[in-house]
Amino acid sequence: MKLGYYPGCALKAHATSLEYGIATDAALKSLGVELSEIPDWNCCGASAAHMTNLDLTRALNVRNLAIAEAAGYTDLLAPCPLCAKELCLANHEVKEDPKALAKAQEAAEMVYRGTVRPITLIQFLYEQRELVQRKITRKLPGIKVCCYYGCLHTRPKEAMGFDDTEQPVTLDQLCQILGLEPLEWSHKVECCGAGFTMSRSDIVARLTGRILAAAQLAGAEAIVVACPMCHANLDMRQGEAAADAGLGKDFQMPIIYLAQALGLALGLTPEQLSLGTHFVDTSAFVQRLGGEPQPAAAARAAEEK
Amino acid sequence: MSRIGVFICHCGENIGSVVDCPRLAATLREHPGVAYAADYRYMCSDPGQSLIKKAIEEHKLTGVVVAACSPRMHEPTFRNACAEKGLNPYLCEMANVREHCSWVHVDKEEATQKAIQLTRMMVEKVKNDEPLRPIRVPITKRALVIGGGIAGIQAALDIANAGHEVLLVERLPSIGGHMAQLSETFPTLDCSQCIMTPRMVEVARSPRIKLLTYSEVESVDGYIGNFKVKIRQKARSVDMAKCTGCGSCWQKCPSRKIPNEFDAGLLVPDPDDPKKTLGYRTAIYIPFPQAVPNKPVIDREHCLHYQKGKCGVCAKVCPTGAVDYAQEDVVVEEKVGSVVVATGYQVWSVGKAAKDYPYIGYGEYGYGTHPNILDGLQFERLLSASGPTGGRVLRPSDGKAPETVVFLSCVGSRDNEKGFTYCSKICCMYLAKHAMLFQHKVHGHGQSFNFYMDIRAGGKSYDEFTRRTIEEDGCVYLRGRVSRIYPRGDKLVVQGADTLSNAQVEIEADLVVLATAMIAQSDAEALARKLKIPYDKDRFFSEAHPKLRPVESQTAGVYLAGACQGPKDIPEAVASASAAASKVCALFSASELEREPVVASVHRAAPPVFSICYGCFFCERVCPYGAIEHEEFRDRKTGALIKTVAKVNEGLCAGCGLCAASCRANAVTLKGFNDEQLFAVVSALDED
Repeated sequence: MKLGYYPGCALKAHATSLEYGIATDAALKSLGVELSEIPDWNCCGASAAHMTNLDLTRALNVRNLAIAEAAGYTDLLAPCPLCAKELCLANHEVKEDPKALAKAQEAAEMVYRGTVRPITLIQFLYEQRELVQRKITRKLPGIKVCCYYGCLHTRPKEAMGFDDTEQPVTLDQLCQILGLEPLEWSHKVECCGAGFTMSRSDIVARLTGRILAAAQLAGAEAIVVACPMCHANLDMRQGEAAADAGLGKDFQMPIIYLAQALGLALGLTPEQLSLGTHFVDTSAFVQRLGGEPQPAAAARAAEEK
Repeated sequence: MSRIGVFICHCGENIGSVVDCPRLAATLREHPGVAYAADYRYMCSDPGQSLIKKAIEEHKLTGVVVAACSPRMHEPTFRNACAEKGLNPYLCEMANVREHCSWVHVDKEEATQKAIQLTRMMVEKVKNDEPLRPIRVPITKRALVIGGGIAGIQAALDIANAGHEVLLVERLPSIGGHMAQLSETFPTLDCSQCIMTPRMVEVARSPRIKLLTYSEVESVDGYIGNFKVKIRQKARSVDMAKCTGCGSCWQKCPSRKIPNEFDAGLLVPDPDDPKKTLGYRTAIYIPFPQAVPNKPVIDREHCLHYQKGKCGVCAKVCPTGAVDYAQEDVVVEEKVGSVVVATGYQVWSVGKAAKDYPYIGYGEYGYGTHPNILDGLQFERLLSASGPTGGRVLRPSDGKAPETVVFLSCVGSRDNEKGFTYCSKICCMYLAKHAMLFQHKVHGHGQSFNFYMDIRAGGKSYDEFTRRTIEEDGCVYLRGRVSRIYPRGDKLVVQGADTLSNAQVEIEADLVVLATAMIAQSDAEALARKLKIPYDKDRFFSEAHPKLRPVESQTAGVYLAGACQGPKDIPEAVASASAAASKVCALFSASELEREPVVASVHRAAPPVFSICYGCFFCERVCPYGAIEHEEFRDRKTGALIKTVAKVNEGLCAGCGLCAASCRANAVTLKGFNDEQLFAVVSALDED
């Protein structure tokens, strides 16, 4: 299966979440999905453009969509939900409003017919859950996790059109397929403070502290995420968050990407999934897996026998 | 030669501001066959009608065209005016220059031209109109009331007290509906059961009311005055004639762990005996002590006898031998003249996906996942003296008395995103009542909070009531929505916003009550199809006119009462039920019924065997009303069948014209819309 791929800045260019890019690449390859990066893509505008000029954001995204369309893709994977949200929103807006489409096409100097569907990694894997089920070579041994969706996977509802806005369940179901034990908890979609990560890190510390505390209360051994922003905040600010909450000791909560969990279930090694580059040590999580993972190829060969 | 009068209505500004009415009158005055044309500001008013009547006399009019609103609005008004002056009412027609013209156009010139065309078309039709006589049909003076809640009970009693027979059909084992479940009623705090149960008993005692509980309407055929209904009486497994309601059976029944539907599934640990749980019923049961009829029913899904072939205790202990395991459903056929639909509502069970129902909604409120998160009806049972706790407010999780209770308004109501667009209307009032009763019961040892969007307390003594809850009983009202409810220890954390102080609020509550939306019954669409009545986007039954015909359905002889039509509180439900009953009584006041003669007829000749109908019965297949009958012509001497032709049952025919349009032999005509009339209408368009 070949899939259009829009990595965006976090997974590729600035590589602030390089491990997410590496893990996505590796895990999907192992799943038998060929990621085909669309040529000459540009910024989705999520960092600054969408707050300053809506026409600009729309044009930026229509250009990316038009490139994907010209390359012949119907589904365009954007593993970063910030990118996915911008792509989905632009896609939704230009379908509803021909004037907005005309304006964006003019700015992008490209024609877009509206045939592309941008999707997040959660949505893609959820739709392919039977494939995932078939391909995994081992079940991750019942590790208790809290699935943290963050704000953008399901919002805005009319643009994303996926899962329940306030009480999503798809990531939990995926984790269950992988063998993890997703817990019922309270802060699935609470704000991590992403927008203030640079300007008001004190607020971010408080908000991430609440999420981490809720996960801890629920009894989680790790939090599973699928967003570079969520990961950065939850992974990087555990010390500040603990200090803000007046806790004596750090949370020490491993923050695992969905792609990493998937890769582990597919038999990839922690190194192949860049599990060693997190702020919070993931070795406790990796050790819970028990034993060396079987190489995917060997496992499949065994299965065939 | 025709002498047609044309009367043009300005409808205030409605038509007059877009269509040049004086010019319309002047143009039509020149039209061949028009003897008189005039325009007037309000033609439907008394002086307007007098204008028409005077013109009929003075100009010896042979037909009348009123260019005004939709005929659905005022055709009867103008036809009656014509009839008063001796003109056959079916020689009066309306040209719709409001809905079809002025309301949908802006350009004055074009709209006026269109109005001229529309009016001319009707003039041509009237030239070809024939006088018609109303059809007379007999009336069965017996009413069917579907639903035995307060609305159905009120309608049944009103009709019965007026001297007519009533058939009251209730799906559940007892009448009483939701009102019997309530604790006390706003704004007077009357005990609901105290005012409800006497009416239920009155129903049981009335010699004119035939009560069929545990029964459902299977099908409805026929037409106003002459309905034939089939009713399925579900097997009760108890012989109603033998049973005395002594209670031996349900006291001895070993299946004791079935959540009672009457208590809305509420289960609470018994504070006096921690091993016991309150809120269960037995498999053979009466839903509540004051049930009417006070005779039990066996819930076969939970009965050991039916599930495992064992037990049989109830049959053994019954002193009169009334338990009958072999009983089967019985379908009875009844004739009635009118139907009152009073099937009520259900409370939206948020967070749980119902069968065949697209909405899940509000998973973040945790309803159904935590025992201390209740809906309004469950809290009602918790407050009620007849409820599982005997009216003590206790937490379902551990049976302790809650100190902090949070109420949430508009869970599903007025929420385009996740629920329904409409206001459920009763929640503001019942939450105020809940908070007040809670505060009364805990005597200052508790605190209630109410998150609201607006307080909608329009009604007699309603606003005073909510003010009392806030000012005297100290319930804290917070204007804002709740984003999430989740457990922390044995408490529930309620996160919300107070938009008046612009602050985020977090409350640790012992109990949370969600005022979930009042929604249509799950099978509302199925019933609507049986009755051939329309329903709205939310599956509530539609009234014939929202203002002027609020209790009539579009189908003649079928009336609406109570919350099956949309959210209503008790006084409104009772008022609409009495209104529906008065409509039924008015219908029954005459011995025969007059019906519109705009019906289809099949060609007949003398002798009848020469009818051009050749009996293909394509008309029968297209008729949505089942109005086509077979008529056989036989040789008078031998009795041999010569020919079978179609015949229209005028009582059933609704005048839709499908048969006329589809008849291959052109043997069917719709009276008032025959080919000559329609050709004349279309030809009138050619003039310009």
